[in-house]
Amino acid sequence: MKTPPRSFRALAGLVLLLNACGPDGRLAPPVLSPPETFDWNGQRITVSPPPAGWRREGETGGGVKGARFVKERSVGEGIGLGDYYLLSDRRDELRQMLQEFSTYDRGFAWDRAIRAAYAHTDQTFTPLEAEIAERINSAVSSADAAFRRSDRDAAREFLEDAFANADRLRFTLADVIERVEFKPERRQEPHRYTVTGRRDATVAGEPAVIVDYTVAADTRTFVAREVYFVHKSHLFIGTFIGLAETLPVFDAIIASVGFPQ
Amino acid sequence: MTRRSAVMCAALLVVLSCGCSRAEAPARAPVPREFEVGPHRVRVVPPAGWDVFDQGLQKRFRKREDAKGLAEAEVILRDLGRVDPPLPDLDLLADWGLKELGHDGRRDVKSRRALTVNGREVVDVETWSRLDHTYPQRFLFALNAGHLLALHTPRLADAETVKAYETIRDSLHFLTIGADSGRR
Repeated sequence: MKTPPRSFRALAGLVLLLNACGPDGRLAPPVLSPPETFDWNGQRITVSPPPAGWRREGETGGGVKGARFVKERSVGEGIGLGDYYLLSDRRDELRQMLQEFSTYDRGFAWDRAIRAAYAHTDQTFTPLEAEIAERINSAVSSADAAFRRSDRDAAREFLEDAFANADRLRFTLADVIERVEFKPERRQEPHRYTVTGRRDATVAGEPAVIVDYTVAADTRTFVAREVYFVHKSHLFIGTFIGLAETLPVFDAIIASVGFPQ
Repeated sequence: MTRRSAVMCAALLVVLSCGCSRAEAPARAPVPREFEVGPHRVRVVPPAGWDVFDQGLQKRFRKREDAKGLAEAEVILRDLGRVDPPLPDLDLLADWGLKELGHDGRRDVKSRRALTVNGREVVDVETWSRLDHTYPQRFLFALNAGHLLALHTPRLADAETVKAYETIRDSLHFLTIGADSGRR
């Protein structure tokens, strides 16, 4: 096929650029898909996913439950957003157990629910979390023992005690950021990562931290960005890796975040 | 005319007559079929080109099979048993039905809406994967004679499956109504 003349290609490029610009001459923000409400770990969050051309996947690695969007026919560009679930917040699990208490018998449903009600204690963020996790686990353990000796009233009371303790738990971004923030030394082959910026920000009215870095892969250097924000003691982490020109898509997605009442 | 050409002419005539009769035949209207699904007796229109498998308490409507013989598109009509004690509203019925069909924390309800099918209030639910909002599935729940009748897509509800699901749903006709039916 004959290649179009250079002048034609330049004109086509100009037309494309003009189409991408808004009326004031600045680059128009990326058009995203209609907003969707996700509930990954008991806190609903509304976000506009990327437009067509991005494949979706569920993400459950790195302590995060969320969604990952992979750009199709690209060079390995991806955007992730998820709820960090390794916190000792067990309010949802305990609330559900109390709501469904009358339906439990000595079967699989109780066993599964009681397993989910235990709080993580291995890497607590704050002394308060450690104390609350211990109290939750003690009460949950007692509830299980009472249930197995058919003392349902006592089991319920222990669950209510566990819930009351869980309800005391509060996290702020300041409590958790140090542990989760991107640091090259936390990665394998840290020499491939270079932090290029860190700044405070706001996401959906909540304080946030944004970290920019680059990743030197074998074939090219990728741009990467991570954003952290906490809403009602749920830590959300957004990640981007890809080409610089795709970064506005990530920023637009983060700008679309909201929390339904 | 030799014997060979006579045979050829006869074969040609047969082919032509088959072609003509096929061309002139009116498009076959979908044929409603009656099914007994546990205590439910219903009439539905199976989607054109789909096979129906009667498995007693459930009827499977299937289309396409891959090389391993696994169905790729499927809609199931089944009885979920007696709702006891009776539940006061459609939302609770839908929750109960979803649980019976294996809905758990890995999936979210995308939408639920009340519909009237054959003069009866039913609830139509769409669910999707909790993490990434993919893999949609559809569920219809109707109370009939104290039992819960479910129509659902056990796997991915792609466009073809949704079309089949809606064809069955919209044609659903209850033939018997028990004394303790779900009419409200």
